[in-house]
Amino acid sequence: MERNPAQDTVKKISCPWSKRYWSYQAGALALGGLSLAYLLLARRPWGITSAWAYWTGWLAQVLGGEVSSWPYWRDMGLTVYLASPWLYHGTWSNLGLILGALLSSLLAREGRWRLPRRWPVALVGLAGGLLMGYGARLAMGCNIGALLGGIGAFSPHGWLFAAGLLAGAALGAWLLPRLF
Amino acid sequence: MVRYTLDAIGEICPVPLLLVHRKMAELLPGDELLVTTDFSRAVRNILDWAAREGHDILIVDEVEPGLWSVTLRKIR
Repeated sequence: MERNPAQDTVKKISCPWSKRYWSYQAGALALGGLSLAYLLLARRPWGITSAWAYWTGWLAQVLGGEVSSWPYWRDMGLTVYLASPWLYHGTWSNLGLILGALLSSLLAREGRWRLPRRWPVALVGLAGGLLMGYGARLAMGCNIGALLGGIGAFSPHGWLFAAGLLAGAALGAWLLPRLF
Repeated sequence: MVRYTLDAIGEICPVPLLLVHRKMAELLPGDELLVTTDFSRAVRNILDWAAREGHDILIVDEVEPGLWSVTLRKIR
């Protein structure tokens, strides 16, 4: 394999163990292994966005909204999570995700408060987040639940999701230099 | 030889790489560009890109925790 001078330069930086960059291959293997472990332990694939939907539905109810009659909750038997999203396992794995990312950043001693450079860009990010959340509900999963979990469970829906995701990413890559 | 600087602090991926890409296009061979970023992934992106393009990677430094500077030299 061809040597990548960038990797050599990074390895020369003196730093704690956790600062070493992983190769893309090592990262892919770790992600695949952890996804498999999650599937075997939780008996369902790792997912992220469902918990957000349940929490948002819970919040809408707290604020007086009547969402439990919506087909999404009623017909899929999810009203129990509207009453208490804490019962949903994904709530806990999402908390673990956030704490793990924080821990990793602190262990690498690279944690710092970061503010957006340009606030219009932050608004674009917020709008993008809403679109992604909406899309994740339509597709019943995100790049973790539908893509990683789907492909890892040998389900064709993961590959179908990948085709849509790549098309969307291509559109985003075309759009990005025109926006910034 | 001219030394340019690019402050990409507060920009998130992939914008820092996009800015580096544009700035490097303005440089003449032999010129250097010092980029500062607080986005760890951007460091990796910029280094990968520079290596692919054949630019020299002169210095990679973490000047503060979570704040990096990368100096590149344009080759061609």
